[in-house]
Amino acid sequence: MLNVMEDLQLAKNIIELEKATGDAMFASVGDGLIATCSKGKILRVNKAFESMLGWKESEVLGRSLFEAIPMVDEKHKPLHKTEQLITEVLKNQTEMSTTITTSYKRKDGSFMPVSITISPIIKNSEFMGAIEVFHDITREKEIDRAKSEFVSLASHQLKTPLGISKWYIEAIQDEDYLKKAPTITKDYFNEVYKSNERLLVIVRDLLSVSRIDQGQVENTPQQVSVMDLIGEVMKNMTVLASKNNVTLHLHVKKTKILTLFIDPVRAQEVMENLVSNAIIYSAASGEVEITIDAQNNNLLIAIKDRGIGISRSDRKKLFTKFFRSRRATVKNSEGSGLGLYVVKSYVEGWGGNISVSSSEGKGSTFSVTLPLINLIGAQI
Amino acid sequence: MKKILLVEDDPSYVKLLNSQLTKKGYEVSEAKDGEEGLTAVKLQKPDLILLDVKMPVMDGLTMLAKLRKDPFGKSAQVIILTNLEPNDQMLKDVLAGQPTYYLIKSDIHLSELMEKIESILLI
Repeated sequence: MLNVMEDLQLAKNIIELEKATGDAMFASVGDGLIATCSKGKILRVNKAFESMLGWKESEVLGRSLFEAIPMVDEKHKPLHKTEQLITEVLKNQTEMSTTITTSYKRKDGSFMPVSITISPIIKNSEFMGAIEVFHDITREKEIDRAKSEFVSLASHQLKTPLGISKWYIEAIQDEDYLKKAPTITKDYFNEVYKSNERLLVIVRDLLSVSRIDQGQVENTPQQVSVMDLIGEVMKNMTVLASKNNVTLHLHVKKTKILTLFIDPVRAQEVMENLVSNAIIYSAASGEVEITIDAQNNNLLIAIKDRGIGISRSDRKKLFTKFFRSRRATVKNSEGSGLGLYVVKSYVEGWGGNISVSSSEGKGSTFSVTLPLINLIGAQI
Repeated sequence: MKKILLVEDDPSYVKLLNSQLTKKGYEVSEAKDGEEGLTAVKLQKPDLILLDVKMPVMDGLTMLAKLRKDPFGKSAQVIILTNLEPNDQMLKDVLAGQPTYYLIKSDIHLSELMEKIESILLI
């Protein structure tokens, strides 16, 4: 009898120790912890939660997670229940993390940017609830912003001496004595000039990227006629095309009125970036085909070249910052590798999509989709 | 002979623009900040002002605002020459229909600047 009592006491002690250890762990984790039941109601929170958000456990216990703690997007617009991570996790019963900028609104009304991971608690194949861990990323965002500001500042500073060299070289190249100089002299001056221009391109691209990162890009959407946009692009790209001995072909598959709600200046930048790439990476006397089509309320733009092509491994990194494939560097030493990153940021910001298909040595096709708007009386 | 006032603090830009403009037959005078610039405008009544933005003591936009309050300065021809990206404050004068142009130094050719100056002064 005594043995049974002793065993029971021992078992009880072990359980209590494990619970105390578990509690201590839960309580002492530096990030915020929230445990919910399978319906998303808060069962438990830790000390970090209380100190980070300002609510005591007793104030949120038993309430739905998405209702108890206000969550907002990067513009501080409240996120609807269906837009919140917990809803996804409860539905799919799989671990998920935030991918976009989200913030929690504290009890005092201030906002705290967070990265959140929510894991389902599954015991014996039964979905019991979820555990959320959230981390205050204020410091990470500060560092990102400081980095962006630094790039911006440095780039501005670089523009001045680069601008000075540019004009001085142009002034010399304009002089009679240089026009009459030996070919090698003119050639070497030209190389210096080209190198200087390369630096200017890099600086301009760095500034574009840092402006996008800092959310400073002027993006004033307005109604833009697709044909007007394409017209401008074709006009500007014809000179580059003839310089590279490349022919531009435009196929418009839908002749009805197509309208975008977009910033016209940025849209032109994006199109010209893609078309100039197609021209530059084409073979001599090559052709670049631009196709305009519309389907399901989307504008489809395809830019096809028969140039050097992009390898499969390069394609994966194509739209990242600073990526330049080796083939591209050989063909065009003047690019900075920031162009496609900028293009992708803009296109996705407009609710569109960009993708590429390619074959090494045979050519590439860049496809862009953008949402069209319906004008009264126009048909898509 | 047409008179051009160069308001610019960077000696490299000053040297180049002064010699290039003098070669073209213009009379060039210099000021290295907005304050000197305002004095120079009053004294010389230039036909055109080339105005840098980032300068010590008084920057270009402040000088421009003060300039436009002056009876002569109100209608003076001005080209803002800078490396800064345009923002609303910089384009204020341009958008208000004043005789002001805005050019980004590192984005244009020297010859383009010269052509612009010539076209303004021929009027």
